[in-house]
Amino acid sequence: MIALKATATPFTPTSLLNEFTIKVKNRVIDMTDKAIIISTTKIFEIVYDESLRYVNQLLKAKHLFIIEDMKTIDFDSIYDRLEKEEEKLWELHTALQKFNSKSGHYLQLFEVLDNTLNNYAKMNNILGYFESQIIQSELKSA
Amino acid sequence: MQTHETTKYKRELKKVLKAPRITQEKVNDTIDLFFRDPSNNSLDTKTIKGCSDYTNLHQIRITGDYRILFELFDEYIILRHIGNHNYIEKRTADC
Repeated sequence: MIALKATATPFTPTSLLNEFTIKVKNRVIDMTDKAIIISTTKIFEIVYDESLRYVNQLLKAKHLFIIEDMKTIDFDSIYDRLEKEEEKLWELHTALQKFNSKSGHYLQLFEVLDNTLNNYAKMNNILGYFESQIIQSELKSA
Repeated sequence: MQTHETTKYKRELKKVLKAPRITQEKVNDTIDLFFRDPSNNSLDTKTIKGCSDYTNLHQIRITGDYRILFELFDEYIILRHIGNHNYIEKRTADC
């Protein structure tokens, strides 16, 4: 079965995201500096790639869907981790919005963040799909 | 009509109940109203089509900005999400 345990999820370390968000919020990092925006975008492209990798892993599990395997998933622990990361991404999204820059590099960074958040929504949707299938199967066999 | 909840819905509900003007009673009343009168204007009921991660997906309004997303079956519903309009919109943007 595809590894769906919370410990197996390949997310970017929360500590990095935490540290970065605090620095942006406290304006320790100058988000009007073009070089900083470009470097930040590169970091978040890695976060995006990681989130996409997990979406693809979930899509593969959805394709192979075996209900007995799905029943062993600890949804709460997966959501614990997902929500922590998603919350931080939203926090960063809000903090960055305050710089209100219209530069192309800045908009590109926003696009990467937005797409990453879309991937988190997709992960949640697929996990919800698994659980819905489990509920339907239990009701059918009741 | 029975009601079932996913883990995600339960977690979201805990957060939503901290918002002003949203109570468990209000959430229950909204769902009950849907069972009795699904096309009631106050619910602003919508069917959301084209989402492969959901079956027969519906959205109803609780109050103000808050919505519930659920799957509708013949004898039961499965509550999938609860949250403000922007949050719910993100859940159905790519499903």
